[in-house]
Amino acid sequence: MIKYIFRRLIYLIPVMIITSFIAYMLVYLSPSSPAQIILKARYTSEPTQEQVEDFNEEYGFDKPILVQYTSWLNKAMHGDLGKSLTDGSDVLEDFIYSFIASAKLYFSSQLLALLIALPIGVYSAFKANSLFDRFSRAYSLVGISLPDFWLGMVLVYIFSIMLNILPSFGYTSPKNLILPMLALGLSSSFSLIRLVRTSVLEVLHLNYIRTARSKGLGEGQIMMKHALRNAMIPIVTVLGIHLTHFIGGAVAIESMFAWPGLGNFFAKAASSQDIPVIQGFVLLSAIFFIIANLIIDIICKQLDPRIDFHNESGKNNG
Amino acid sequence: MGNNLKTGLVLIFVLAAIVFAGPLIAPYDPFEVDMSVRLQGISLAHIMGTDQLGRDLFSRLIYATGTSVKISLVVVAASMTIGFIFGSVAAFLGGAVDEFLMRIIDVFMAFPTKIFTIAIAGVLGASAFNITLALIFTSWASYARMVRGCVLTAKQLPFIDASVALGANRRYTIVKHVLPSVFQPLSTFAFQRIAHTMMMIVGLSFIGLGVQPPTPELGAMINESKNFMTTAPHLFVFPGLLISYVVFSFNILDDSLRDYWDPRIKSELVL
Repeated sequence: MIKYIFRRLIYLIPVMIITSFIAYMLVYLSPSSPAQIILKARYTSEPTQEQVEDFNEEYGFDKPILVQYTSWLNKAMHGDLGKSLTDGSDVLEDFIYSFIASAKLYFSSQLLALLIALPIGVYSAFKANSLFDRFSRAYSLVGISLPDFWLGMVLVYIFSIMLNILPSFGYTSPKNLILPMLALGLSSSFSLIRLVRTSVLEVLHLNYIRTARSKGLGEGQIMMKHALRNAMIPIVTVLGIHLTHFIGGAVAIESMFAWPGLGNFFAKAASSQDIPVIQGFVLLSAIFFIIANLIIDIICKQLDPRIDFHNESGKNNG
Repeated sequence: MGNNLKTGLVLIFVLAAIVFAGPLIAPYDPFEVDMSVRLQGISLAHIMGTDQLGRDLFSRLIYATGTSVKISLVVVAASMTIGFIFGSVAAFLGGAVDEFLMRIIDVFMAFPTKIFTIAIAGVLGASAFNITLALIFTSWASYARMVRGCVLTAKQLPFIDASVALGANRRYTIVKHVLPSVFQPLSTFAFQRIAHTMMMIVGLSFIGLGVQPPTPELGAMINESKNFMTTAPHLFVFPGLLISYVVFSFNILDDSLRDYWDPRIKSELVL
């Protein structure tokens, strides 16, 4: 196990280096040069040739790209990702602030999704092909097709406009969390119901469940003691994968409810071409994503020792 | 399950009719501004009402569905092609080439897709063309990894050995035996991605990084309607229902096609 983790960590180093290089180079995809973008933001008009050259010299943009990149990376490793061009705030502080906001929204909504999906999915699998099962399958199939931000708008229309009992945006009071959490939680619960149902169904037809039944155990005991335990493995895996999506996954909901999360913050920076923020956020979120994936892999391997990550045929990649 | 397949096919057929024959049915020009009828509700003249510039919502929705669906199809087809080339080259050549290509794919998959897409779309500037490029750029890697896995698995199957043992040359084996066994999982995967890609496009257009107004696009239209939620709820309700209709059609068809193509999975799920 330790050998496996060590191997994975070693192997992360080249991936991280290339990732940081891409994060830095992203800006050069733009049709205008960094100097033009930054000066335009500063003076709100097209910069002159002279201004551009002065700027390049001052900020080192006249040096070769590799030199620029290493100096950026060096600063980044010391926690200095530069300052936002729009409001001059520190990129790392912004990231941490919006990371916390995103985490609040995401963890609460995933918990809600689990609370909805687990009972419905398990009961659905238990009474497969019953009226309840058919209804819950139709419900989740329709639900999966609803865009999360649209669900949010419908909720706002009902609870903020028609009934006027909940605020439609804001971050300060706990009440503000309710609608975005409902929207995100509901929309994640739909696919989770399907997953829970399939996982439980698959386990229910294994031989050891038949053995338990032939021993004369009650259905409830079979479910709680034997079936659910194994069915949890794919569910935990997918929940883990969902959690890594909280970087940017909720961008539309966050922007809809003006929630100051990562997605919302990043989308604003991207549309105003705020270079240091784009570079810093891409780098930090990629690092987070890589590490989170590693942790999920390790947890899955712990839960189910049969999982073999050397098999790359895509079977275990969810 | 057979019923689902029929339902799915009918839904997709109607969708294709909206996308390809829609401009013929649309009663108004989707760009025609008429401030005298702005923000009107449902009426005989405008069966789905009008928007904040007095444009006919029904006509705009028809064009908007076309925009969203066409971008999804282009993104999926292009990423599938690129992924197929990368994945099969890696699997067939093996060795150092494989190692090199896999590392590239790893790096592409190391980024959270949405953040990466938003970054590229933002840096390039928001437009329909740039959002298509950004989505292709961020999604081809998963196709490549999948194709590589399929080719590697197929290469080990006994019937490939049998074909070689019978004297078939390398090219014949690849074209006649290995590639066909990749096409089915690849097309299932791609089909599944259409609905997902569609959700990405409407989401990105909704936050203002995708298709730009006045071009009709479902997500962008919902974004425009945000300021008129109280007075004109039809402006966000109809586009949302249409998105759900499109995604639902692809989902149900994907579900039933998988059962149809691979009865083994069906027996596992339905039992």
